[in-house]
Amino acid sequence: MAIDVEGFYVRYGPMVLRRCRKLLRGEAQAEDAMQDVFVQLLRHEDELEAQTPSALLLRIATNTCLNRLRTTRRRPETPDDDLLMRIAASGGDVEDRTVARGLLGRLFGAEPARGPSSQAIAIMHLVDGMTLEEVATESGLSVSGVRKRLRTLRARLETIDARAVEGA
Amino acid sequence: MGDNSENKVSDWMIERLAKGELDPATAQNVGARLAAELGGESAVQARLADLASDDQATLQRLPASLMAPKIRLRADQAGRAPRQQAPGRRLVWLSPFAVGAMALLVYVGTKGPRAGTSGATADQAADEETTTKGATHLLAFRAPSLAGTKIEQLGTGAAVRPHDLLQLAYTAGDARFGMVLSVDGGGGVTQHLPVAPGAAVPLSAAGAVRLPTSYELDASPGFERFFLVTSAQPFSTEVVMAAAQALAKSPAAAQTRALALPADLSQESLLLKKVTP
Repeated sequence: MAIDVEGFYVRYGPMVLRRCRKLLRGEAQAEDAMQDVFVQLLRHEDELEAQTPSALLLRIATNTCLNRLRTTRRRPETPDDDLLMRIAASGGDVEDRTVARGLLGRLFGAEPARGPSSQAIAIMHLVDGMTLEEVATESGLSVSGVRKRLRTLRARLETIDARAVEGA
Repeated sequence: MGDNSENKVSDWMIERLAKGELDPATAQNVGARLAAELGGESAVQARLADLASDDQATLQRLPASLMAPKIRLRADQAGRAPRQQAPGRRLVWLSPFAVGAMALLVYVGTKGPRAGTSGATADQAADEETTTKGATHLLAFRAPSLAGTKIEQLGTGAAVRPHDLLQLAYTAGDARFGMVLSVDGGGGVTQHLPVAPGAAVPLSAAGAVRLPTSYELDASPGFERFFLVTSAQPFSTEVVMAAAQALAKSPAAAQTRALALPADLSQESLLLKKVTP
């Protein structure tokens, strides 16, 4: 089904902008990322069968912002900001591409090649403050699956921290 | 990395609640937690109203008429073949003269023509055509009152209220046949042009042409979305109405998705958001 860009933008654009603003902080960056979120939506419109576009767009926005944060040098302003930057930095490029395909496949109703990224799940739980059940529902995973992803990510963060200490 | 069940409700879930896209059980749970956190149901409503207000502020600062072409352009540059209208198509300019002329055309009616109130006269017919020519567009105007001469053109996403008086108009562009219909938040579908089922009407290519009647918005909730469906060839209104009725079954889809139409039909829509006074 063809996407009515104006309609989607009017209904969801401000919401997406708020999401991007929260993760990226800078207004100009957030507005730019917002456009990228809708571009992602358009590029996969043939697969769009989402019943809840708000969840779809919030998840695309989270992924889009994570990708941007990964290449950003920003001084963390709060503990949450520090955590956000560390989580973003824990993802690799190869995984990003694979995860993006899998995530979009899931979001748009296709069988995912792979589930949502551990980074996105961690952001939802640790930065957004969503419960495990909410994260599971919004990600299409089981609660135990979410827990497993979080454990894996925590181990990765600890490894990164250890390397940073060794390099200091 | 423990559970956050005791923490405050996340912005993510509040956004989802505001859009009305949570399943009923989750919506109830989130609403109850938010009420407990904020101190009552009225505070929840105030929080949701704040989001709606921020929505409007964003749409005023970054309107769809500006952003949608940018998004399409960026998508095209990223390799997506454009399927939607060309960038800038919604950028409509009306001269002060045209706006003034349109103001003269507004007369009262109900949603759908009201018998015996047709205000179109021979003199007014001369005012039907304005200086706007070019692409195919659907235009909407609002008159604050019958007595006043002030008129306001409404862009997509504009806030309207029950009982607002609307006048629709179109510019045909290259299209030769067309129809106008609307879907509302209550699942209703109304055919405005032509008013009776049958064949789409021949469009005038002379400029902005008002529809024969104006409309008083009813109290159906949420939104009113108008569609202009056009073609180079004659077509039946029935297939379009069937597509509209299918779309209207889902309020979320009815605000955002296009009508599922045969490939030889083009469409443009204008979404108006209803706010309760």
